[in-house]
Amino acid sequence: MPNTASLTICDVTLRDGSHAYNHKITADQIYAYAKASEESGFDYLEVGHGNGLGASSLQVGESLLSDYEMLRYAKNVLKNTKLSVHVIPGFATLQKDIEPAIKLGVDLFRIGCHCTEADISQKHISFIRSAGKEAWGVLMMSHMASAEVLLEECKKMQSYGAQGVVLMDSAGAYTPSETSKKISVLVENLEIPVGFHAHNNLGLSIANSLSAIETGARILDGTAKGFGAGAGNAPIEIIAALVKKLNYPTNINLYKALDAAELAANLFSGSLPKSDSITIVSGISGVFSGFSKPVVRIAEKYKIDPRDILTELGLKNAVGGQEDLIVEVASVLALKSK
Amino acid sequence: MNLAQKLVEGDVTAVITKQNVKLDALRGKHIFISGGTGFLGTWLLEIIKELNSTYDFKIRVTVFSRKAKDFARKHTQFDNLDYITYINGDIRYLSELPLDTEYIIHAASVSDRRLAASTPNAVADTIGLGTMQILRASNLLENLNKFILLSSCLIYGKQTWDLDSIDEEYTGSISCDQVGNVYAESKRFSEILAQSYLNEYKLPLVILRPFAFIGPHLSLQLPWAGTDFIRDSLLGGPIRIMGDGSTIRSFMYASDYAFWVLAALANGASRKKYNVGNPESIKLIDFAELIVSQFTPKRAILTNIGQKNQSKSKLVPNVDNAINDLRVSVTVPLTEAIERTIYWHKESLK
Repeated sequence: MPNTASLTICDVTLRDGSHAYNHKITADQIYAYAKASEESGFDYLEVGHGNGLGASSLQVGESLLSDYEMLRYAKNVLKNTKLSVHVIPGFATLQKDIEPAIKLGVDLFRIGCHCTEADISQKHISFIRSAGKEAWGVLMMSHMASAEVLLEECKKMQSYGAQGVVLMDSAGAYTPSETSKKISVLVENLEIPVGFHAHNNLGLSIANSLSAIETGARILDGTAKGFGAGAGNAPIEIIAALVKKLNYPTNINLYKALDAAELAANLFSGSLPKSDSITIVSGISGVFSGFSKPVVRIAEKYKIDPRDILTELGLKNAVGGQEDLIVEVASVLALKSK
Repeated sequence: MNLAQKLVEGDVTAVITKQNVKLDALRGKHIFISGGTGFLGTWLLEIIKELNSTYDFKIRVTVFSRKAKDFARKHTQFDNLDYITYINGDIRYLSELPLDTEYIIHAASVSDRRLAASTPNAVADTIGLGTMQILRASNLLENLNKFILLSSCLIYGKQTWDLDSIDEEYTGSISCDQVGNVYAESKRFSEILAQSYLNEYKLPLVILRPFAFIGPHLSLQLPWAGTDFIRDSLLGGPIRIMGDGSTIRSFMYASDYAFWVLAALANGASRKKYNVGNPESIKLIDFAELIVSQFTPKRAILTNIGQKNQSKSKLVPNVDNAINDLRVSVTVPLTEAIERTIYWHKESLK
């Protein structure tokens, strides 16, 4: 029995993977992988710094290439697959970052913010919609809010003109039942399509993604070989296989998707995600996956256990963009340990 | 004069001629318009300008808005019209009206649903407290002939699918525990507040409940179906419809809207409430088709891109009361309304 609900599959390898590659993805890697993603038939390819447009900085990591260069390389390759970018208001500004991206031909802007702060997305969503481009809302660290709060925030984004909304499990902290509970509330109460972006800290990225689409989500994010922050994302080649098995209508060419994953394994060898004590503690503490690398680095400097830093950050409800907090927490823990 | 403004002036001339409704009660009168710099306010001024210049109505207007002075600077078609006075102010803090005010159109509101989503308190405050303030101030006037309260079709709640249209006595349900209903609930509060002034102080109240509109001066930044479809088409498309397009709405052209408001101001019976809108219904998919047919190459229409459990809805006014009491009509058919709206925006973008 074929599944009638069509799915939109977003390949965020060249954006979330940036976290895992210290934001040093090269032009050749972008060119080669974008070509493979296009052939795989994914609906969107997201490209850029891990924290999105305009985020390259000393604080969260400097990109090897400028946003403009990364997007131009990808755009030159893409024909049917649309180009998308992640946008966090504050990092990305309308004139400096978004206007040039619109001119360059970015098709979709995914406006991300902390899961309880949808208000800050209004200006960006409105601006992008006024320019005739597609805008979605993205609620990051969504494990930190209840289904009811997430619905309120998603409704705001819908009111601003967002044409889709994605829940990000930025810390890889979700379980399938929690995914189902939150997605179902959104699906039942929103007009716009609902999506899910998984991380694999607890080894549940595919299970959570499956739970999301079985509950009615129509958008799924994934990355080749799970190439992404922390323990990585839901491997998009497994998503491709899964939706084929379940007969969801998509544009995916499965063999090409599998080939793209093998290509990514070569392109980014040595940086593909793996489960370890850091990613697992990050998951159970509910700490943003992108914190893993700086946490390890800073723990080494202060000679303390990085897992203690993650646990403390979790207690403090730290969110993406608060990287400065890692040093603060580490220094306090170091003092206590003396 | 640019072609966009020429189109508006042509619309004004046409609507006054075609409506053929006497507005003589307004001759020589002083009208106070709160929120007079929005879509409706601009059109009211366009028509009053014509009534004064061609028909020698000698109407005086006070425009009260948070952006009144900015509006005056930007809308050069109203330059040097000494019968228009602009006052910058926030309706929540209005304490007095010009003493010789004889007619009031209370249109100040926050109708942008993006603001309602972000700042629901400000919406409740502006509509509720704002209405309270202007009612108090109105009560001090000696020569007030008519107070028009611009309410909203949303006060009716959900129109049931079996009804072709809803009249002024219809009552649907609205959940008062859903913050998304803050605009509708605030408008309901403003209505009952105004009714209380009518009851206690015999305020000469007429309530208007506008539906949906298109036309020049309506900002395409607003995320409504009509504005979304036209803006996306102007920018190359496609039009995106979350459901299958079977949702039903109606759209009235701006010049008819503004004229109906003036007709209610001049001739509306105190204590009456009137729906304002086009009684001709249209499915969203057909509305989108009418819009894309105006463009070459024809823009694509994407349907069913939202969640699959989209519920279709209907919102269409019965305007028999307005037609019978005010003798107004719909003079601009929808197809022409769309053509003219798109033409105006194209010319304005040049």
